[in-house]
Amino acid sequence: MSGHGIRERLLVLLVAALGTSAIRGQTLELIALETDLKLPYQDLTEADMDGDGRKDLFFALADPPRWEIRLRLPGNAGFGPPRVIPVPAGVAAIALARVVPPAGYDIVTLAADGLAVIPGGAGGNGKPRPWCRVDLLFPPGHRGVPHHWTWGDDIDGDGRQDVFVPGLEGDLLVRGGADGKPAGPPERMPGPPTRVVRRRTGRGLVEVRRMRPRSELARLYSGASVPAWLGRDGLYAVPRTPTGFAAPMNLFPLKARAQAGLGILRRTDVDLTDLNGDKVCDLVLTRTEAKGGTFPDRRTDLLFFKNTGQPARAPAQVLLLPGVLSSGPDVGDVNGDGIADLFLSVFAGDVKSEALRRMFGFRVTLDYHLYLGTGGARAPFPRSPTLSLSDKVDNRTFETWSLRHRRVLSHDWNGDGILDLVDFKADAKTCTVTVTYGKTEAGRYELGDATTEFTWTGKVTGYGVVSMGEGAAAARLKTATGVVYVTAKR
Amino acid sequence: MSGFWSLLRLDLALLRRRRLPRWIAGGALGSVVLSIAFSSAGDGEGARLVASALRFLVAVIIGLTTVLGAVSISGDAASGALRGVMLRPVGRPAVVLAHATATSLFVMAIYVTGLIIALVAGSTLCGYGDVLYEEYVVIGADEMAGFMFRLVLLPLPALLIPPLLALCISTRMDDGATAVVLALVATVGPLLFGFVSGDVPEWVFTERAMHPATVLGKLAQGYQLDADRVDSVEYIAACVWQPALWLISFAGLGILLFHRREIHT
Repeated sequence: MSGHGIRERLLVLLVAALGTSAIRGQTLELIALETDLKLPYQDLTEADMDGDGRKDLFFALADPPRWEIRLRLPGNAGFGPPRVIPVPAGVAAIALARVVPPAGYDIVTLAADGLAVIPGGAGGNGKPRPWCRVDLLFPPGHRGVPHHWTWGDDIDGDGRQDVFVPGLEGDLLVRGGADGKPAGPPERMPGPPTRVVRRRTGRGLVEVRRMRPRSELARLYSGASVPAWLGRDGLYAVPRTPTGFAAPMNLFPLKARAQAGLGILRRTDVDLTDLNGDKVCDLVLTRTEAKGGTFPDRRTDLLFFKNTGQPARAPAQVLLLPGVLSSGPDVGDVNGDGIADLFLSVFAGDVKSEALRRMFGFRVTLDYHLYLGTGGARAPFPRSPTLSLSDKVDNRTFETWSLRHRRVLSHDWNGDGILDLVDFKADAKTCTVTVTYGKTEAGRYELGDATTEFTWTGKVTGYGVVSMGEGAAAARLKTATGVVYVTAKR
Repeated sequence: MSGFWSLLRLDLALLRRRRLPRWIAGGALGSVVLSIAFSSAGDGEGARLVASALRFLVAVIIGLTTVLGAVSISGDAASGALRGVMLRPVGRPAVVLAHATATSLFVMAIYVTGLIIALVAGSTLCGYGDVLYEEYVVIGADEMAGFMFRLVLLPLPALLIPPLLALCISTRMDDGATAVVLALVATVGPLLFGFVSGDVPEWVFTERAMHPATVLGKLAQGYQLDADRVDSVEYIAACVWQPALWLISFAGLGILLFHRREIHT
């Protein structure tokens, strides 16, 4: 290597280091990266298709059915021209997975008779090539332009991404191989038992419906995804063994609660996430239900079960919240202390507030609560929120799911390891994104006075915060025909 | 301030003898008994019973004692008693302060009596146990007792404001009915708005009175959202100094308005 080459590389490293430190802990300059397709799209997924470490855009469009990939250009130049891929006949859905070397996500098409792969980078010709012959079954309502079904993930622990697909009799694992081909035939994974529902029809005939509940991939251990499902008596997972997979295990036995009164309004969600930093995922169980009376109160129960490798029969902590859970529970390290914190939002949702909203147009109050993790051996979170924020949204904003949550605390924008709050304020003509930088004072998380604001002119149909690459948070503003990413200038 | 003590004695004697204060006391304590009778609190849920009784009691006291304050000076003026009082060697501030003190003592007496009834009923009918979610203890009985001890006393300072506000209005009114209507609008208005929308700022006196009772009810059901906040010195202090500011303001305004009023003796 010549001395000139070494100097050049050192210079590049120096510039990169200076660029990073200039962003870390500082307020930012925000810019908008805009992509307009000039016509409505069905679905949008951000994924690093070309393997450059920054996310590109993957659109699904109808009439004619096609996908469009727009690669991220270097610097602040936005996104490149579209690479159009016509949807092959018979495709029902797609999975984005890294199955064909080199790096970068590929498009795995899922059809009733098998899987095919379209390399995602710029090198491919857009033609699918058969990848795995297997019979698949999709839910009856699954139709339209084939869009994102699942992500590739390392399920068998060999360091390569696999694809988890809905087989005819059960969910199937298609292992990714080193040469870009599947490593062996698909393997049927243990799953929830088939349920048969019988119902007598008006003419005395019996309608028999066979239902096959599906399993989902859950990160049971940090970095290891395994199939899991919520049964009536608990959360089942399929543990990985050195040679394959063990029999399903009821990891978190839960009491089957009797249906009574207005119990039909009950909803249960489960999340597996590491609450105490032991690299083993614990269970966060969320129940939202109406509780008794002529005018029932809505209540959200959060139950936290520690994963000890043995069935956990009692929760480590219970948090009861008045109202209906609206967003979250999002578990992540908010204050940068390495301990999982909890962020969620609730609204009243009871008869009184619904009547006021519908009859008199009262604004709806969304309460956002942040619980900083205790790291304690017993309860993972304090009993009361460390920080509570409130937002009042008008009826239209409340009823539009993609516009309802105007406060997002999910990403670190300035690289100081502390999450920053993003506020969205949209009207018919503009959308303003405000980043308020978080800080810690004596171990407590606070929102600082410093903010950065950016106003984009145009009508948005939805917003949220996404990651566009390592340490690159962006506010995503969806429009009817495109998308705008408001992100830090690099 | 001349003649304050003699006026206070007179006002207290009138409170005992008149029919309206008796009806108000009866109505407030009756509401406590009714809320206890219709409570759905079960075994060990005495705190829930006390919280629901307190919410009733606070709301009724706000409404009824407003009427008492509104008819105090305006009622005296209409009956001619005010002219008789002013013929005696008393100062005008003493007249207002004596009425305010007598009414405040009356409110305190009703509230403490209602509270004692609720606490005794909670103890005998339900008992004070752990707050449970299924079999899991959300709040222990000892901690709940600590919450209850603080939260049942905190509405009291704010409860003294409605009669004083009404008294302030009555200092300018000869017509008792008009004074009652105006005072009810000023006191029961925010209370009703808070009941309907749940959206009244905490520093408003009606919400300052209702909030501790509401939080006690939530804690008794296991909702710990406000547990740390109501446990803090800041919250307890705010429940005292904010009502104190309201009270001083209304007393001062009442004295000022009454001072400028023309009374033909």
